[in-house]
Amino acid sequence: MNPDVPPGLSDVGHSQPPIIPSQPQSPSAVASTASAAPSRWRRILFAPIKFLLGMFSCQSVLGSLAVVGWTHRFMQRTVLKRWWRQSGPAGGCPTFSDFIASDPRMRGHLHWPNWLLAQNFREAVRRSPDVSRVRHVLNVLKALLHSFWANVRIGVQGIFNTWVLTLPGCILWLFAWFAGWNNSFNKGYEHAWIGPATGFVGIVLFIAAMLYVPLAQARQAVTGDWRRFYDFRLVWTIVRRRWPACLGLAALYSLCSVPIMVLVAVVMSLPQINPKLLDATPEQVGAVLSSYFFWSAAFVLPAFVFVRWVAARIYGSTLLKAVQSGAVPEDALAEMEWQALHRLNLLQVQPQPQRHPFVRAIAWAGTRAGRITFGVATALVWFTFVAQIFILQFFNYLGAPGWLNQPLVQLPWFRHLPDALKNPWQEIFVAAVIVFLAWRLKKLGIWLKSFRRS
Amino acid sequence: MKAKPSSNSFAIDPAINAIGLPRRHFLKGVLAGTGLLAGGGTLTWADSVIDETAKDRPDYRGPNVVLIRYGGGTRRRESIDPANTYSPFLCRELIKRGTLFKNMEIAQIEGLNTSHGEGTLNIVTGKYDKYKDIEGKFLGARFEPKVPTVFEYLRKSFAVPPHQTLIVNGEDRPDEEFYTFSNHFAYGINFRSNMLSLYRFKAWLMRHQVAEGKLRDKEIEKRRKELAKWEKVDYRTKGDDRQGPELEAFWQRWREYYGDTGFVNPRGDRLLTELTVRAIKELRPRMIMVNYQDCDYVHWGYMSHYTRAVAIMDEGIKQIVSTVEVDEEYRNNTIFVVVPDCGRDTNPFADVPCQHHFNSRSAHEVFALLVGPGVPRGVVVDKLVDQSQVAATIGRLMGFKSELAEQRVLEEAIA
Repeated sequence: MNPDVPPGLSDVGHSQPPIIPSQPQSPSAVASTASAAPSRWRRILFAPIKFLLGMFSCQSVLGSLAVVGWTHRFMQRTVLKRWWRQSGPAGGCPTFSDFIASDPRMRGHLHWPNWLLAQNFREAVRRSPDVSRVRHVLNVLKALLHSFWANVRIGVQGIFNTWVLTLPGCILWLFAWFAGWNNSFNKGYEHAWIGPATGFVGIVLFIAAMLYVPLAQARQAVTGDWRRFYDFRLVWTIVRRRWPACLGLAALYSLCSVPIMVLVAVVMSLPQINPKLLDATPEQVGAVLSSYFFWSAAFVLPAFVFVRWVAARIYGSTLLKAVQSGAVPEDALAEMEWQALHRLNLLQVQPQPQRHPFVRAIAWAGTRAGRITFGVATALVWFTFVAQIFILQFFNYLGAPGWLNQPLVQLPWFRHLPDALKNPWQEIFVAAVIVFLAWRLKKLGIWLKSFRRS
Repeated sequence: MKAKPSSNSFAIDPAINAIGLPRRHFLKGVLAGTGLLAGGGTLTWADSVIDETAKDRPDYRGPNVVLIRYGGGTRRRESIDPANTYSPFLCRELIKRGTLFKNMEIAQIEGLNTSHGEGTLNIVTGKYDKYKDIEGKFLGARFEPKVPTVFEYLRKSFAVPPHQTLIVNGEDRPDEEFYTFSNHFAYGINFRSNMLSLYRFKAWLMRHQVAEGKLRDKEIEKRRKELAKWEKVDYRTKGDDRQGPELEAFWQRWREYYGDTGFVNPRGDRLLTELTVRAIKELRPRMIMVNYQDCDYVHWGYMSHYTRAVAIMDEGIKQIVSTVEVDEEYRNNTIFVVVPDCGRDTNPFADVPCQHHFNSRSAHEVFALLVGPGVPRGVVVDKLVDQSQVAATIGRLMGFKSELAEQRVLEEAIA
């Protein structure tokens, strides 16, 4: 058995032979070829620009897809860095750059993900002597939008999976709200139960999904494989092992949701705050709201990234412990995870240390009673998150998008213009068409390349 | 019961001295009011005072009034604006028959709310006040006006029995069940109007079902508990607010027609229309107020709830007007007053601009339409008038003096 190949992939007679892209180099060999991490000054200079780009991205569907993808890449980097830190000297990589440089697939994580330009842009646009001028121009053009396309592509995969589990509950809310308030006309008679019952089922479905989704998103991000989102057994094992952390994560979501609720509700009071706005023309309204939501993204974007960063850390640390304790077998790991842990010498079952009584008390949370207690508490905290959605709709009804998209959970699309000014479905449709066309064009390009080669 | 009458309920307003109440009436009023509010008396006792005083008052021979609260909370845009109306009968037919005050406002007074309870009391008392829920409940609208309502003025001026001064109320606003009389010592419970609502019907029905003994023990116990809870609510009548034989008979006929289930009778504002039409036919009211309310469901964000409710209200008005027109006694002797309790926001920043009525300029903008004998036809008045002027105008048209209300009347509505 090849020690550098994951156990699940090295089996003879495996139904689908794995393709391991390239053999990672040893850290010492690559240290010299690794690009230097960006300087502190460069990072300080570019950070505000990148932040503003992120805020700008939250203003459109396409942009918010890119934010989801960017966050996934960031989560992957977060977990890799955490594992590298935990490996210590035994990992054989003195710096994170060394670790990253040891595998070409990870080279992009030398610095934080870009919004538009390819990672390590200067290196990407450097012309090799054997590349023609035309080819070089094409490479430069590609590098200019490489990260944007990667962000959108990963974002589409991310939102698709999140929607699969969260949308059913959200759709039920949409109908529950309508059916429930139709009771106002029909009073509490024949069909009065439909609205509340639909709402209840929707809430239960959403909460059940949210017990799972944050860590599943983390798994998808870390593995870089959208299918891994559905590793129900593994993700649920991690959730069950870290109920207190999941409770904290739910509380974080709920707390971060409060300012978002306030930001949307305050829109209703803008004419009270500034009475001149009552007579604003539609163009002025559009301009005021665009500016308002752009600056609101200064909170929404960090909140969106922060909750996922926390989820990634919970996932990374719990997975590592679970592997080292033997609770999760090596073959349950994705290839990316296995390679990283393997190179950091972290794939070793370690004896359980004698624990402090305080730690043992915390471990009580791992017992059945503790798990049930924390599970129920986590569900209740998620309920406070859901309650805010309903309260917000009462203050400022946003229509179907207000039910179907929760900026912290799904798309961080945070720009609500009145329907009379802009139809949100039009933007959703345009974004879907652009993504579809880009995907088909890419497929066409790949096909043309293979056709030319053959 | 935590609720207590407001501290100044019995304060003698200097304005009262100016009206020169006869000392005998004054003392009887004080006795009746004090007896009830201090918890020592019952309505029956108070009624005996009314019966006695009624002998001194002349019969009412003026026009009947149908006061329609075009609510809860409607904008001019969807009502009297021909280009955008969802109320075609009101906008295209009824306006032509009377005088429209298209620029009526609820005064901009600090602390004054533009909501349904407040708006209703502005209309019936002719006075603005900063109302507070008597139990201090959040969003509660259990208000007690300090000055009399038009019903009290009418009944104090003329020998009109309580069942001929009616308020028709919806199911969703039980707080408004108690707007039938003020806390004014010289008026109040002795001159109260009567309430027609499902709330009252259900109370009546429960009493009868318990008395009939057709229910099982468990159900009887449940009904008794519900009834006790309902009766406890109005501390001013000590749970003894029986509506009198005429209304008992009215509910009996209602029950015979619609049964006990609640599944057969109309719902929402259609119910109010039905109650009004039946009341006109059976109780022959001199003054009846219809508290439409359903368009307020737009608070939940569906514009269709609002426009549908405005249309239902319009059909209701049409039906009430038709009922009056085919009635010999009412045909040329009934004045319609249509006025919203409040407007709604026109918020350009919201998906549903009229979702709420947060005291915005648009929430203060209402209108009033008066139609009937003694009211000029086809007149549209553009000048700025006040919602509080409606009460005095009704008083002038019916021939009573609303001493404690805003004294300006809507002159253009009086031929």
